[in-house]
Amino acid sequence: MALALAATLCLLVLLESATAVAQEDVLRPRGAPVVAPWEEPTPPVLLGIEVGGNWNMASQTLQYSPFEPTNTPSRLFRSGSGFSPTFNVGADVGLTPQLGLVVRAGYDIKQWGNSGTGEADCADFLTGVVREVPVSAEWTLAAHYITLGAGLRYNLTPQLWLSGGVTVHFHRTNQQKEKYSVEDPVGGCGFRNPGDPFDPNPYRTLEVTGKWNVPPMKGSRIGLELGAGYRIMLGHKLWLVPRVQFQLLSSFREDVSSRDFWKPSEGIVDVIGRNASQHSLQLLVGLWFGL
Amino acid sequence: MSAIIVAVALAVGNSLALWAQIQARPTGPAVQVMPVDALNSSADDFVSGIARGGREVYLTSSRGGGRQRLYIAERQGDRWESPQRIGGEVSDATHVGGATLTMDGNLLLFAAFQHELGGSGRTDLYSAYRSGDRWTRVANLGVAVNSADWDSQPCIAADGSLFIFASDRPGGSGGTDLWMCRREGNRWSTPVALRILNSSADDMAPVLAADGRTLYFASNRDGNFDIFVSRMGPDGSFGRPEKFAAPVNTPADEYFYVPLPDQNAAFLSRTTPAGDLDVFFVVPNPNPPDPVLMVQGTVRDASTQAPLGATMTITDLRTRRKIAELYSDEETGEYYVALPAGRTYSITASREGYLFYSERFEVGRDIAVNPVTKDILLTPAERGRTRLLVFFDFDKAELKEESMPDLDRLVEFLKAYPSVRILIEGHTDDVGTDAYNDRLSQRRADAVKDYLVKQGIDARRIETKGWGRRRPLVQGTTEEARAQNRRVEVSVIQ
Repeated sequence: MALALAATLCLLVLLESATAVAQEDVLRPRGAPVVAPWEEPTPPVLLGIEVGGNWNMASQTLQYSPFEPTNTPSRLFRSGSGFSPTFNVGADVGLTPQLGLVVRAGYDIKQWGNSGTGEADCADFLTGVVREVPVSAEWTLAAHYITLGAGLRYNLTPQLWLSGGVTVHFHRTNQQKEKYSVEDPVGGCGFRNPGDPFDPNPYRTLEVTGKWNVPPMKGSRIGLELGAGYRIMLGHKLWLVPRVQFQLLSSFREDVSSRDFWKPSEGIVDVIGRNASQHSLQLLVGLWFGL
Repeated sequence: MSAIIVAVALAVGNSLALWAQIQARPTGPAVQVMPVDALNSSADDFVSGIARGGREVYLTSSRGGGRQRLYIAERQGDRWESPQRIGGEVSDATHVGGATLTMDGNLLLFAAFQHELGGSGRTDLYSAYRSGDRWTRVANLGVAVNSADWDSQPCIAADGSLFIFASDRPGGSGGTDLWMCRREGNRWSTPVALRILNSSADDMAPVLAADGRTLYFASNRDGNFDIFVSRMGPDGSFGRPEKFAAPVNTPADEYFYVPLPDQNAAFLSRTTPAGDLDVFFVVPNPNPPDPVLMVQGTVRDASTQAPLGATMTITDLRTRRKIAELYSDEETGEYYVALPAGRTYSITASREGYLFYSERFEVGRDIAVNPVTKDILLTPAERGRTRLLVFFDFDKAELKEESMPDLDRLVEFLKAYPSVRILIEGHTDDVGTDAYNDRLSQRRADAVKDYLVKQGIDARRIETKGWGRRRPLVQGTTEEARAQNRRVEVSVIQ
């Protein structure tokens, strides 16, 4: 992640250098005047729309009580990553030649997931013989938010700027998908349907989609945003602005869910999710219009 | 809506400026500054050079993509045709523009950023030569002129003897400054900063008028870019610059004040409320250069009438200073030259294989017809005939000093064609007796022969004949007719 952030910043610096050279022409040794909005005599208001993507990184500590189930795919819930879209509208109000106030509202989807394989104990209820059977699982979780943010922009050059601010993510819903499978030619073992605790059947393959919250990552969050952007003038009062920012978001609250994952049953297990966190690196492209 | 507001504001601004002008100068026509719609676009447009007596203007424009490119626009009567982009090797650069040309339009200096020919650093100066409709021999002016810094906006004297440009190289007065190079044979001298014109701010956009001594430039020493004028004295140094008044200068930025040689008017480039640069026409020119006579014509073969490329030399007969050396176009034979008023010149054309041609040409202080056309016929060397520009005091046969340039040309011709024999014929006007005029014309022809012999020409190659007043060039007894009839001619007799 740090590497990606550093590479993006280097790209912005290189873009800045290349553009500075290209601005020289036969009339102006220091290039054509770039009428950046913060250079206007009266601090203007800019309105913008942005689209982009999140690279999401999530992790949590899982505790099981009274025991850790043997069906190891559940451990996959400890961490996940994934890409998801985001959309913003915003306003930029110049305060000083270098400093501006930026406010944004948007719709943001954070999606992450994981997949893996493992082995589970499969006990023959007649003989008591325990077999190891291969299992696999994959899951994704998409958390939908309405976001509000406010921050300050500081110009390093007329085109390149840094920003910092706060964001509030109002949780709307979670959509998650779980898929399990077991290779058990003998039969008798399988996953139980977590969506229906009264369903007694074991499933060799099981795909569940829904809006319930497993793992327990839900709720609204607040966070800090740190980023950099670059303005490219497209025309009179029109700018293209690519930017990058890192969102450091608050942790989810502790959550406990009870599940009986496996048949033959090993018993109900409380799954306690602690220190669940998720952060995002955002890459966005915006069109900003001067008023 | 905003366009209407801008238009109304411009109209009000122009009206106020014109009203102020009328109030300040109750006599004389008010200066008007009008946009030249035929040359302007929504991007930057500025005229930096003219050629061929003002028939051609050279425009730099960033229309159609943002890169600066060179355009040429020709004048048809009172209107300008649509600018045509100059392509080819000249334009192989990220930005190209700021063109300036000698009055004959055959030598082009321009600036380019990141030209494919390479350069000394950032924006550099380049040259190119006209060949028909194309520009050839495109070259960087080299490290003797260009620096590692920004070198741009050249302006060349009408006769090509010097050029001035803008640069932000070290050694100036701060910002961009004006620098000057003089022609030294086939190379340019080391640039010298024009300190009396430069300020600690940006000084740029120089334009040297056709008189060769009036320099216009732009400077933001007072805030925004305004037009200044300075005149070169007899010692070759410029005087203190004076700032133009309104309506030429305004709170907007003004650059490139380009006077037209045959009209009391000028081009001006100015930033518009939309932020781009547009071309304006200023009439009358409130600070005009010294009047010049535009002379244009065609050099041709006297036998076939085919156009010829010839070397042409213009000499001020009073100061004996060569004021211009130019070349007629190889394909069309056309030439253009600007001659300051109130002087007498010799115009000489020469080309290998032909006998040179010389003519005395007087430009009065009051120029009634401008331009004038003077076509020149060159006769082939083997049967050439021309008039020699030689001068004698009244009733004398001693050659005056100002005769030497033409006599030396004759010496060179005879050395170049050692088998050629010539006949030198002297003629007088109709004042005096035949016997007296016969003797005088013979003595004058002999004086020319004596000079040639002293310069190493075999006397057996030279015959002389004094015709007195019996073969006048023109009939009449006016002083002008008599001046034309007093002459010495040379013709090849082998």
